[in-house]
Amino acid sequence: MDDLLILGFRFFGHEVPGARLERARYIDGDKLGPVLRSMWRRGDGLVAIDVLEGDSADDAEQALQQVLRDVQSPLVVRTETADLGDTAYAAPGGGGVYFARANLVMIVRDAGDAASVLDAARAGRCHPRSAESTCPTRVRSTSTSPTRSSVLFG
Amino acid sequence: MSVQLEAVAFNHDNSAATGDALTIRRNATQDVTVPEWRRGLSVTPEDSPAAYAKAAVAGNTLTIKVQLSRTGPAPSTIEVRALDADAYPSPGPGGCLGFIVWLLRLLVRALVGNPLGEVAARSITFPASGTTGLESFTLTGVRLDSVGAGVRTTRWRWQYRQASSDAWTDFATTSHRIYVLLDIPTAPWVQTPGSSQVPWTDVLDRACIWASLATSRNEAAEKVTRAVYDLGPSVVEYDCPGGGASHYSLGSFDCTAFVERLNGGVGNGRYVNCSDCATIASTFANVLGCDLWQSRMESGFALNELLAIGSGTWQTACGWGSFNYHEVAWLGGCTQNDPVWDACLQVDGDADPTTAPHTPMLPVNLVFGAIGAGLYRDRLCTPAGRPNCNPAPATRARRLVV
Repeated sequence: MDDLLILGFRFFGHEVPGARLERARYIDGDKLGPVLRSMWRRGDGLVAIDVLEGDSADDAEQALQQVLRDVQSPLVVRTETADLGDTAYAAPGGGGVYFARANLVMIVRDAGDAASVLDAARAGRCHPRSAESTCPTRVRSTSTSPTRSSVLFG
Repeated sequence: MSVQLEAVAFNHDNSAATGDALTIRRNATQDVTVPEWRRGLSVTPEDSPAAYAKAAVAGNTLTIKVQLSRTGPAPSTIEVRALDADAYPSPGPGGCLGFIVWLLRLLVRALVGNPLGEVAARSITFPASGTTGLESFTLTGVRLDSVGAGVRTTRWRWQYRQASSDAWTDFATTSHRIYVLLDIPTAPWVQTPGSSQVPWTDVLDRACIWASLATSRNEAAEKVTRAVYDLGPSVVEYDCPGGGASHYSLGSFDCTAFVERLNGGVGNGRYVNCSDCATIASTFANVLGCDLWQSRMESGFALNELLAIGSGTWQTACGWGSFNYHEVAWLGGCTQNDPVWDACLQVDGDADPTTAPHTPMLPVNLVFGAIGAGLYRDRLCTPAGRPNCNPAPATRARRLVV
């Protein structure tokens, strides 16, 4: 599990290869808290990426389980694809991927003719130590810095 | 003398909706300002919307408030009224064709015409400034009790005269979009001014058409449920690719995105699941005065073959064989004795729902039922799945609209 706390996550529009950011906005997710909802156009397909920001990795894990309660198929199961996140679940065929990474929950779904969204899910995860990462505005290591104000990456 | 109509207020009493219009807004971000009609700003009926709850106003006198101004020297007191601008009292000349046109006008009037009648005449005294405050006027000939749910247009011809012996003089024509609801909207909708949960005209525009002419809550709920199901496959379809995930109802109801989708935009995409359908159906029905919940049955139960929204193939929900859970619009306590409205799927309505051939039946006002009762549960689930498919009334909710 990453020792990371990612604050103020947002999209800049180039995170998903070959896709154009159509819209990103926060909505009130009620008990889930604010949800960053984004729609991406890739060719004729649409990919939806929702991001929930928890206070901790444990918080994110609980939120992920809450999200999965709204999935009807019994075939959406935990996947061992290690490059997605700390905990990841995927629909058969790759039309929906649900994972937690640090304190974030990411929900990546085919929203229309997108086929597999696995690549979009991989693109959406955060690489705080990578020069190419742009998604989090503030990231810190929770193992070395107990204060929320610490900023290691921005 | 010149008289001008400055403003007309329909929702002039925020504390009640028994003698005036309901509190409404356009959508999550835009209010409906009161007075709803303002000179120079309101041109089309959509510019001046008002909603009335039939049950709340039944038997009561309806009033509006009107602001007037005058210019030039004149008596300070005049009499003012407004007539139905679309009234066609007789066929008139024109022979057979004229009669047919008159009949068609009557039909259109019956379906979408003015439900508010006319504005009764009263005397108005202008102050020295020449502009009145918002003066109360009584409506006469109101037809709200005799029309069903719907969206209608009221057009008024405003007239004044200085003395009772004078002829009436036209001085304005106004048009208004009038939503006729069966009762005061129920949760998540509220009547708290300023709240984002005040009924949206973006939702009323659809709900009133979907439930057009409905005269009871059950009928309105059925019409809305059928309309939602019929959005497939052109607007939405069941989320087989994503495993049946919520696209519009995760936490709250992303009604803004759904309305965008209805209007031809992207919204949150084409896929929906049962929670989305239950939320859409109940929220759109409740804005008309229905009283439905979104509630689940749980958990992990094998399915009969069904027709999911947007699908033309009888299968066990994308071929999965079972559901982790299912969610529907549900009445009352959301128990096995209460009826459900399922906008997400059609079940087999014949004597044996477990095998083909299938007779499609959209579950509307169908009691969930005990095992073996031949009701909703038996039609949705296989005999082996039925014991695992139980109402979960603790999950009942009415998601906030955002």
